[in-house]
Amino acid sequence: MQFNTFSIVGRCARTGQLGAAVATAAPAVGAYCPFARARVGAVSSQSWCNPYLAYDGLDLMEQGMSAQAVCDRLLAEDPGREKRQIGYVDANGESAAFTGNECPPWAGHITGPDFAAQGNLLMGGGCVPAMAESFQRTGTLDLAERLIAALEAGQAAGGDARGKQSAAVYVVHTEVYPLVDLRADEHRNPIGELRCIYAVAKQVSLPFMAQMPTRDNPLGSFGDDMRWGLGIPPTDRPGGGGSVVG
Amino acid sequence: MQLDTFTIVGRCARTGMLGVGVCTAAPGVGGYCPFVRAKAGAVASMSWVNPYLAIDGLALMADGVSAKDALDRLIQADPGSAVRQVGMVDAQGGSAAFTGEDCGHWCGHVHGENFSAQGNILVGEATVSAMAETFQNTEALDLPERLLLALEAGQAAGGDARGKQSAALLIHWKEEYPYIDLRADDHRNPVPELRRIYEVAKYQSIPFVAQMPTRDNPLGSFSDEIEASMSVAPAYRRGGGGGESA
Repeated sequence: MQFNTFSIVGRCARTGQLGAAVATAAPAVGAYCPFARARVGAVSSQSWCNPYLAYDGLDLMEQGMSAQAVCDRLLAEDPGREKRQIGYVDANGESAAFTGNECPPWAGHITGPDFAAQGNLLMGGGCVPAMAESFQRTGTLDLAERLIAALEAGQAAGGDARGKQSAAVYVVHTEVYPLVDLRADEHRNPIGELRCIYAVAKQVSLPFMAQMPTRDNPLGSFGDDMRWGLGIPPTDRPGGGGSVVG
Repeated sequence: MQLDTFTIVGRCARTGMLGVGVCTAAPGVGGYCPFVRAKAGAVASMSWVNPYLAIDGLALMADGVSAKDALDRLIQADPGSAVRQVGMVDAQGGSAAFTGEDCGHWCGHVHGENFSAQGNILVGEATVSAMAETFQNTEALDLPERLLLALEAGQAAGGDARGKQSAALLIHWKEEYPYIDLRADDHRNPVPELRRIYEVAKYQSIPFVAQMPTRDNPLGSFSDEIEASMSVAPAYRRGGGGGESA
């Protein structure tokens, strides 16, 4: 599967959260491109997508290898490297990216402390710098918010040359399961839709997920606010969404 | 007002595919309810969700523990078991389900060889029976189709005054990455929306998953046909969808 796409992987220096956000003109990009593991790293694997560059990269980072060392080693071993594009960030905030020679233009990446921004088959060279600039000037916001804002900046600067179809944001914090995992899988304006979904989820499912059992608290901490909030129809909750009739 | 969480967990006896279909009246259910690992098992963790029942359940099933033994062991150890609902299928087709005594009514499950169907805060047991019956009557079809049909039957069996907001379909087959992973994260009518997305993905992403790198073939295959079909705007492809570039 070829994901011509633009993405940002990032770490929040305040909280240690790690995540990735991605948009493309193919369906369901969230299923195959963004990866993150709590306290280890975040990856986006794209162009001719090799998910094992992400799985194996996270394993190596968990063993203490830096994002750059992981990127160097795994791409050297990958026979398809010239068709791959990948961005890594590790739990120390180091980042690395690779854009193979056979990725379709415009293709490239920018890395810096706590992030890597990359894309291929883009309208032009403005998209990736726009994502990087956005990420760098939003350090006070929550990571999910910063990643979505970076996608919005990338889209405003041109985005995918073919059009738009799907977008995703994925963030981990302390647990094996994600803190935020939201997707617009098939939409005319997927980043706008992802922004809407995020606004709804912030009122309902993100607080719910934050109260789920953890390794340290196997009971979970579901409170009365959550019992009340989920006990009414989606349309009557803050944020709204969903429906009540068939 | 019924908030309706219903799920079907299944295994295809012909191909060994394992998967989960889910629908609920909260956003982004695909981010915290369905869990699948190729050649190990599939789990839906519901009600006051404990994701570790799924994460640890899959680890146990990957070690050869049956769905029933894995579920028994994990539920006994969970201090919040009274508010949990879980359905599991293992790679041999063994299944197990649990519905805690404090889950919202109507709640319950039906499980058999290769599947488990369960739900809570439902209008009645018809939703769960309809899912089970549909799954059992569609053995000749592929697993994604069977799980979608089961969700559609579950939705149709429950009447009108029901809340709904998100749905998801997650299937693993041979690799660490999913074979199919589709979401409707916030929609007025999430099951039909999931079906619509599936019909687009059937032409624009699912056929290409087979060409991604595998553990046995780290290069993957690169098809000119795919490159050509995906190089145009989504609206001009078979299945359509998406939007124009910025």
